[in-house]
Amino acid sequence: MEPDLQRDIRELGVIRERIMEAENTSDADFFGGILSDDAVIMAPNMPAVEGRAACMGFMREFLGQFDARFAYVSAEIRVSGDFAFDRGSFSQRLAPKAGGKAVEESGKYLWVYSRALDGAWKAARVIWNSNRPPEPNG
Amino acid sequence: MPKDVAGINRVRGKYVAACNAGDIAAWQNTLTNKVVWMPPDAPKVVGKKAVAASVKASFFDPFKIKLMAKFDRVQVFGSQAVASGPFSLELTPKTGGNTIKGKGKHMDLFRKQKDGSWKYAQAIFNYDKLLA
Repeated sequence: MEPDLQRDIRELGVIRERIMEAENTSDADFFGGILSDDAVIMAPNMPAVEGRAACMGFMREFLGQFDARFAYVSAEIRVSGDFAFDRGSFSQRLAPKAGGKAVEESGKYLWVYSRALDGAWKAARVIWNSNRPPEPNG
Repeated sequence: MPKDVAGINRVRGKYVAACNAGDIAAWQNTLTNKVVWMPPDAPKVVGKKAVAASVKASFFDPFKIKLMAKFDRVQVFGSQAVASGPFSLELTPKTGGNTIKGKGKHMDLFRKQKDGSWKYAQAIFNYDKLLA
């Protein structure tokens, strides 16, 4: 494997770990530095959120509502020039900060990255879904 | 590059047309052998034969499908490409009953084939709200 490719794959692995850490510590500000200007978050059961500012708003609201515990396991990272993707699985536990029952879920994710002019990887498209249907009244 | 984008849109057209015609053989011809299919509310399925069997059982056999899908963005990087956009789906039970309607988002990864055509290598989607 080429050294540059190894470096890119390592960097993308580090980014995934940092995303997980930011989610698990309700650090919404972290996402300002990792999302591309034209980022799109495609979350289940809601319309797509487009643009970094809107995506930041989404993350702030989401992390403001829940104490999150995410774990990601990457199955595949591919890099092709200034494009990369990370595909894998996740598990999450979301406990409402206002109180109430925590929800646990597992699913699949696909994150697409583009390389910015300074060489840094930025998350450009983010989509995920669950492995099982939502519970009734859940 | 425009030729590649046209090729990717062409395979999307074949994918959608196959769904709407209920033609599982034509649909699976749009997939790579190692395709990863990631539907909402179900585990992922890997490999063309397994994906075709799963999708046949989940969609093609029980429903008359009406799918519309487009790409908001297509990015080509050599022999790979990523595209994402909205879709709408109507599933009418073949045995009768109400049509299930939904809108959502999809993101697909494509791989260029030796003959220059493009095929779906990975597909993930979700709905904008719970299906009804």
